[in-house]
Parts: sequence; C-alpha cells; structure tokens
Amino acid sequence: MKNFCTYKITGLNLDFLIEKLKRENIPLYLLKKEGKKGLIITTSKKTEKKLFAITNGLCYNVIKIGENGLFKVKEFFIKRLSLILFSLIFFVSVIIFNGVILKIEVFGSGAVKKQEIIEILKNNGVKEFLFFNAETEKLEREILLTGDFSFCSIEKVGNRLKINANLSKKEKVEQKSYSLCSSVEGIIVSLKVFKGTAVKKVGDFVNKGEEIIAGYENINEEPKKVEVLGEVKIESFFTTQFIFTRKVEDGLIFRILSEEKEDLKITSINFIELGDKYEYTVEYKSYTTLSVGG
Amino acid sequence: MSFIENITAKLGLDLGLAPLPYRAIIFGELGVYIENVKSIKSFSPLEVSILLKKGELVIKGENLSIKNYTGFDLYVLGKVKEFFYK
Repeated sequence: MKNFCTYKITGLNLDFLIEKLKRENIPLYLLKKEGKKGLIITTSKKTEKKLFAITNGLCYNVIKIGENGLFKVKEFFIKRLSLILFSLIFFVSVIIFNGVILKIEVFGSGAVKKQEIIEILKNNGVKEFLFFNAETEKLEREILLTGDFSFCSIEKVGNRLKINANLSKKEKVEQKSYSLCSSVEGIIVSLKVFKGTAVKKVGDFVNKGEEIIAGYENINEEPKKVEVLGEVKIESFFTTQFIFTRKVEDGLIFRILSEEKEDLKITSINFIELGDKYEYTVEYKSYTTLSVGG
Repeated sequence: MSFIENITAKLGLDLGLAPLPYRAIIFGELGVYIENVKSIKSFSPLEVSILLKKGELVIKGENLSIKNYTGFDLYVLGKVKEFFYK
C-alpha cells in the first residue's frame, strides 16, 4: 500500500511547474486545476521534501491538504501511543483480576466443615489468590461425593467464590442386616461397601425396595453369608405443583419444599397464569443416604 | 500477446516499420489513455493540450484532470467531447 500526499499549489504558470516536476522524476498521480492559479497534485510521500525544495525556489505556494496510506495508520498509533497502551493495560488487568479468587466463603450448615471443603478445592487447583478455571459442577460433585453434604452450590461472584453447603442427615435403615435395600427411587451417586457384595453400582437406577448390597461374600469361590456393612447415597427426582394467588419468589418455594425434604436442590421452576392464580411447576432433586451396620 | 498487440495484428499493422506518433484508448465519457507523450503544453478543466514527439493532441471536454503522469503515458480523466491530432 503506497503512501500518498495531496498538495494545493498556487501560483502562475502552473503548466511549466508540471513539466518541471516530471523532469525531476516526481511521480504525478493526479493533477487537477482549480481556477487559473490553483493546482491540486497527488504524489508519493517519499518525494515530499524534493517537491518543497523545487517549489520553494520558484515562487509557488504549497500547502499539504491530505494524506493516505499505511504511514497514516502508523502515525495515528504513534500519536496516541500512551492512550492505547493504558487502555490495553486496563483491559488486560480487568480480565486477569476478575479471574483471580480473592476470597472463598462457605454458607449454610456445611460451614462447620469449611476446612474440608477448602481441602477438596485445593485438590482441584482452586485456592485464594489463584486464577480460577475449574468447573463448578465438578467441584460440587466432588464435595457431595464425600457423603457429608446433602446439598452444595458453588458460584463465582466477581473475585469471591461463594459455596452454599448443607450437612446431610444419614438415614438408618431398619431392616435385616443381610441386605441393604433402597427406600426411595433414584440414581446411585455414591456407594461404599465394607462388608457384603454390591449388586448395583454408581450411576445405576434403583426402584424403591430394590437390593443394593447383598449379604454374602465369595470366599474361596463359595458364597458365604455375611452381615452387610455399607452406605449408599441416592439422588431422586421429583416434580410438584403449587398454586398461589400471586407471583412468588423462588426462595419461598425452596423453603416450602425444605419443610418436607431436607436435602434438595431445585432444578427448574416454571409458572403459568390461570386467571387470578399462578400455578408453579417445580422440578427438584433430593439426596437420601442409607447406611447399614457399623 | 498484449491487448494492443492483438488489435494491431488483427488490423494488419506492422508497428516496427511505421511507428505511430501516439496511441490512445478512449473510455467512453470516462477519459482517455495516451501513449508516447512528450510533455503537457497546457492543461485546464476544459482543455488539455499534449505535445507528442511529432505533433500535438488536443482533448476538449469537461472536468478534465490528469492521472498517472509519470513516464511517457498518461490518463486524461473527465468527459471527453473532442479529441483531435494536429
């Protein structure tokens, strides 16, 4: 991309000047007359000094009226270098510092086990004063899989990591200790077998009453009856409906549900208007921990 | 073969034997391209007079300007009404 400059030259005998410039090898890209004494000329930026040197000695008045080409872009940046640099530094700082965790806060009943939560986060590369690039869902799953928490939600708000966690209540199953059966319908998210044989695995769907840990072990390739010792955590999905006479906040629905089930997480809330009433359809999941023996 | 050489070949002209005083291509009302230019005799928005090695070319029109006058050719841009050699 060539660099051009446009000049306005005023004086007499401009035709003579045109020939003079051509003889001096000044490239004339565009020539346009303006009245009797005016000439607009576009030439290369490189020959500017030569042009002025020639016209100076010959009673012509030369004014630069325009520039274009790559050098104009370069000049633009040079003139505004400090502004551009400052903007870049500011922009980069915002990105960097927004991604850094300055504080980890734990709320809810799970706050008593804050150190354990922080330890889990450390194992996943999440620490204060470090750049945060972990998946919150993965961290939540890891915290829940310890079995100590029934609910966990992680949210990054600016430079703070807010963790809302509730301790779980373990449900003692009153049944024969030769079998651990599910008391709810759902998906197994955690399974610890100390004695007995697991007939289901993590990720399996179980119906209510279905056996999860059987009371036998294979010793020397022969099944031997044993008392079951183990713990399982099941995630169950529910849908329920509420009707209100006004629009309500999600928090109210959560409080109402929490009175029936302690360990729950709402996955979606939708509502439709029915005249002067509002019908809310709520989907949520809750966790049930079953343990036997011990 | 260039465009000009193509045309001269079709017209049966042997440029080596009789070189032309000038060569010009007129682009409708946009302008005219001229080769073998020696110098510009006079120039105004209504008339451009060009000195050739032999003879003179006069171009009359409106809003005439000159473009790319760097070697022995140039473009005269603008509405060309008359074009004659003398």
